[in-house]
Amino acid sequence: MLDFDILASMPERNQRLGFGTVAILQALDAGRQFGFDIMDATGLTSGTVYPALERLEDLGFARSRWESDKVAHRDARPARRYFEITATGRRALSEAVARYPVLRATPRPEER
Amino acid sequence: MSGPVSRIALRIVALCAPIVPADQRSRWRRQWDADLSCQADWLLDNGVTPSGATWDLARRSTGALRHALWLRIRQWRNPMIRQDLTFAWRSFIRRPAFTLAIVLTLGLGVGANATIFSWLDALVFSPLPGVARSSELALIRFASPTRSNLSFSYPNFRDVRERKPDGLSGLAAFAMLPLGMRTTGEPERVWAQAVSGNFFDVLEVSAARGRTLRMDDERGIGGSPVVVISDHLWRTRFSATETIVGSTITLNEHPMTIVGVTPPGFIGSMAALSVDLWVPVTMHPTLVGRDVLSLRGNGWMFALGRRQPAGSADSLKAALGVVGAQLVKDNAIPDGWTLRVAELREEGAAQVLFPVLSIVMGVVAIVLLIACGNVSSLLLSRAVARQREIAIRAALGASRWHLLRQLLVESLLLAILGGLAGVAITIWTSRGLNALLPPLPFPVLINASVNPRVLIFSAVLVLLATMVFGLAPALQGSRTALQNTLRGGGTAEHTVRRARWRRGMVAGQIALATVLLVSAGLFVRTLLNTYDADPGFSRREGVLASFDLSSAGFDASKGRAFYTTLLNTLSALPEVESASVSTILPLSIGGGSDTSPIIDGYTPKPNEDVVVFYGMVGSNYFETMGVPIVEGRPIAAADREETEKVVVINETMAKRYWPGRSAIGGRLRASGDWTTVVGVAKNGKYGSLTEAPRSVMYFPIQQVYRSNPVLHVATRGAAGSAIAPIRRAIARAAPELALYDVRTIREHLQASVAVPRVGAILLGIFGGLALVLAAIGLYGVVTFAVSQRTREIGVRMALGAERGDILRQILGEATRTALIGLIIGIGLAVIAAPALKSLMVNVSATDALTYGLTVAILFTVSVVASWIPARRAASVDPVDALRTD
Repeated sequence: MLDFDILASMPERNQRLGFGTVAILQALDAGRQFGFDIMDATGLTSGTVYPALERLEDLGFARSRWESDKVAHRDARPARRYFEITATGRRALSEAVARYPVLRATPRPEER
Repeated sequence: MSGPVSRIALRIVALCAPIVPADQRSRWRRQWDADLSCQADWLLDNGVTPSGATWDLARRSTGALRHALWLRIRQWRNPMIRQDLTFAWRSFIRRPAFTLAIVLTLGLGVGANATIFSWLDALVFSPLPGVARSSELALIRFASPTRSNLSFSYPNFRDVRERKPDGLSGLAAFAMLPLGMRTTGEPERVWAQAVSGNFFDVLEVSAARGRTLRMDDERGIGGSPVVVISDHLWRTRFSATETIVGSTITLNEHPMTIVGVTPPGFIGSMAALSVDLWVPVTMHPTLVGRDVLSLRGNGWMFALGRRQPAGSADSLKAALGVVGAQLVKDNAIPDGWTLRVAELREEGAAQVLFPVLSIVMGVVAIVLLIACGNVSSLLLSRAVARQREIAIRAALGASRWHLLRQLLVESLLLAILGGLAGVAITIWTSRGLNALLPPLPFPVLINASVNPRVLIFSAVLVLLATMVFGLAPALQGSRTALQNTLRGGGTAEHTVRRARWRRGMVAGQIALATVLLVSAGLFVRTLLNTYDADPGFSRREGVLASFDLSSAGFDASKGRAFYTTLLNTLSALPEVESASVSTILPLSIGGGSDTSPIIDGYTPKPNEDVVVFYGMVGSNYFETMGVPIVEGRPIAAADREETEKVVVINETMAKRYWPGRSAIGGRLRASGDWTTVVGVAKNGKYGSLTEAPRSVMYFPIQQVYRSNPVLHVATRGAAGSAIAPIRRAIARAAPELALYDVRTIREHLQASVAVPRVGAILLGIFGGLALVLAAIGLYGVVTFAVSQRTREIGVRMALGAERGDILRQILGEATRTALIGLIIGIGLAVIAAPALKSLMVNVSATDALTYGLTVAILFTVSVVASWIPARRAASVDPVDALRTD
């Protein structure tokens, strides 16, 4: 548990995000919450998306929450881990979008 | 509903789960299982076929592997490792003696291994310093049905070179050539190579100054009196004069022009032999006063080929097969001869040293194992002392893996420190092999150093050693019975298990030390036996000296006359019993030549090759060397150039080619005239004491002239005191003749036992090291066991046990351990010793004396090593003992 704390306390590190990570952040910003959703939205593989989500959480750009068992039980499916973008994450995203002009041209998923 | 379609995907996730760190595993499983099952539902709800859904889920689940690996790596990158390192470092500084003991023990083990590896490396991996890509170079040899290392004659070499075998980018030839070099005043002996014109091109060595030799230097006999000198010679003999190129030196009394200097480090083309001059092969007849270039049947050169980097061994073999068959068809070589590829290490000093060093490499590996045993034992005893610390860490939430990792990091750090110490030792010892060699008549130079290969080898050793010595203590240390330890005491079961483990390790160490001491003993016995073994000549007091008449400007007829004068003059000296000359010297590394004579009345079987070792000797040779003539007569003064050509052969040759009858009167033809066998001499040893008997011919030097024999003088008194009168007599007879390598027969024999000597010294050193390490190990274990049992000993003494009882009990346990180790060790030695057979002389692999002495030494050392702590335990005051803890 200690390792999470140490890494999470250093969110300023590795501020320059890769293209794929920015795309994931964008998908989170657009309201995608689950690994496979983000996969479909970005066209990235699950092998890229899942570690990237962990890393975004380590950086403090995203946070994850477990669905309550009650809700899951009601819908007759297992509880899922869902992700959402944080305020820090939104700031980082707008900086990154400024850096990658091509991302600006991409329509946001919710506008499709 | 989603069950069947997600089965494969869930299986993939389950397979990856163990990679995920344990504390995150169940969460990770839940995340993937939930995502997959929701996805399955969504797919089926949206009309995807079950097979399509199965495929989609399986594809998505492959990311689980990367996810799992990512989590694991994140944990490893965790700064906790840095914490572990800092913690380990502090704990070492707190116990400097403990740390130093471990670092030194490991340093000796790693250093011994790295040293021997650096020597082997110099012989095997970089045999030719200064030569680009020397692994591409190989010797090309002739092989006959019975011998695999036949040399090239110059005509044969030219034939093969012209045929350009596929797979070779070039083929050069060279021969070792001792020369008398005169710059000013006295001539001195230098080692040269007579080389083909393309020699430097094939080696891809260019001159540091001037030029190297070229193809047009290999023209007509005596046509190109030029020489290339080594950087070493240039610096040591010519004071690194800038204007050296173009100046003239005298070699064997012939003026030669220096055309170039080789780059520093280049020592020629023979592994581990250092050469200072290179002359065109076509200058060979001029320099030695005898033309062997035109003789096809006379092999005296090495052919050196550069393999094409892309070519395979098989295609080269096939190409050489074709060329060999063509040579046979052209009657250049006998039927049944083929060409083969030989690695550089198969010749020169490397050939002799490689087998011994390979054995020593195995020996030092065992020394390192013993050293690891000691370190392991030290760490185990420390793990006991740290039980409380470890238990507290476990109680505070450190997982077993975490504790294990921390203990392993400590071990690794110790191993790295030990490795650094080992490399530091190796920097110094890698040059040591040259010092172990006795003075040899060859310019042996083993160019070992701590190079990147040696460093990588040491690093691998460090890692292996960490696994060997660190794993057991770490596993034991991390398996701490938490509650018991914190409660204080009650760890009896663990103590027993640990004690048993340590005892087992010491028994193992003693077993390995036994194997090493037995092999060291066998080598020492071999060394002693070589002094007693029958070399076929009497080991009388005598003097040997080398000279070369052609270097003093004698032609053949002057030379013949000089031999008669020389031997008469020397025989007249009061110190001299008899004197002779001979081109073959018993028990010398290298030297001598082979030929294939035609033997009258003997038809070789198909594929049988007639190869006979031969030499030229003066009158009185057999008498001087004490070689008995078993039939007929020896070579006499009456065998002159103009008389009937005669030869003396040895028993092996007589039996082989004249089976069941007398060889006397038989005729043979080596080159030129038919010669008559007039005598049969007793067999001798020509190369080494372990060689198989071979056929030998002795020709009179007056009939088959050579200018460079070795003078053999049997003296009446001590050989040493005869050297000065002999030198004076020769100086009077031929003032311009230089004598070199003047030594007594005893000294020569010293050189001839160089290999068993190197083996005995190295195995002696490492056997001794193993003994000391094993003794320290036993001492440590007994000391520790005693310290753990202070309270028990106190109780027993309080209950009336005598001091003697305690002493007997502790000593008894220790000797039992030692005995078990000894018995296992003897068993291992009996299995392993036959591997040394080829290097042993007249010693059985189960030599009772060696085994007996080993057992006695090890047992005594074990008793002493355990008696010291046992006595200390027995003198404990029961009151003090009970007060501890």
